[in-house]
Amino acid sequence: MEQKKINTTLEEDQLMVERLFSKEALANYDKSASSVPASYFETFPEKLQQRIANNKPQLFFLTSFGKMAIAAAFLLVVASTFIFLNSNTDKNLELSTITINDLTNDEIEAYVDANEWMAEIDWQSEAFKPDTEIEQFYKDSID
Amino acid sequence: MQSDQELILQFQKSIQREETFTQLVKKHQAKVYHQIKRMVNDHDDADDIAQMVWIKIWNKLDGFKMESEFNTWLFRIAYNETLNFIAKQKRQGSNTSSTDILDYENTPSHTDAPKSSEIQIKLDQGIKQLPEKQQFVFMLRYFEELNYEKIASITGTTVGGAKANYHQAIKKLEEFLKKS
Repeated sequence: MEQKKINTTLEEDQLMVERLFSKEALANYDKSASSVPASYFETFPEKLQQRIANNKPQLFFLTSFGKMAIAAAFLLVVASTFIFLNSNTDKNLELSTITINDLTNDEIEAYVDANEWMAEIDWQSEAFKPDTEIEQFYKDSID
Repeated sequence: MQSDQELILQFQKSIQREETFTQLVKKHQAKVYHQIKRMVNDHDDADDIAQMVWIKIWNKLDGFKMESEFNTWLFRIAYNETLNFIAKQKRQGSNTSSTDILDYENTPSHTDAPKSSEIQIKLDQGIKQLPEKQQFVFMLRYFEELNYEKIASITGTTVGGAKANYHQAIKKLEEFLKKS
């Protein structure tokens, strides 16, 4: 039954609708859809070409400008990263080449003087923690 | 008159692109416009959608491989653009269907047409309450008299699916008439 319904010809399909609504009503419906302002179709291709022409250079300009902007930003990021990494690498290299023998006694003493009070604070803060076992703490600090 | 295939080849070979494209537009513009207008019921909307469709055709025609008929491809783009437009309108909360019936009765083109009868209004309302896909399939089958293979290609469904859509549409129209 369903199969019979589905395998219908165009005429049968159209007839099914015309039984519900009159053929005239359907024709009028289509006439309404077909109505256009005077000379619409005569002017449409020209109007369309103008729209395409107006869009084209703008799109081209925007596209190329966009590409250039993206490329410039990308190059800037790459260059900045390269410079940043290089400068950091140089500093590391510089630091790694300095050994204790390169430092003068005055420099070492100045460093110890400057950091001694910090070491003291660290020691005291650890020592006065409520769960610190003092014997273990001394042992750890000597080790 | 040159065939679609000849015109497309000329366009793709960049031989007088504008003139060739205009010929294609002139050949098919009325059918595309009417199909869109049947769906949106407003000239300005139909004109806007039709322009979008042809701009898409202009942009994509170089890549068209003639695997399907140009006509089918064109209607498929029109189908997608129309559905996108309707979906956008729904999202924006615009609903013109209530005024459409009034417009339908007062359209200047109708002055020489028979006066709108009750059945005319019911047909209009009945079609509008169908889901968009069923509406589109119904129009393509009844008014454009396309076969189901073409309708299936245009709406991106199977032949069985297109048939089912048409018959569902008629069933819903019948139910609508009974209720009203």
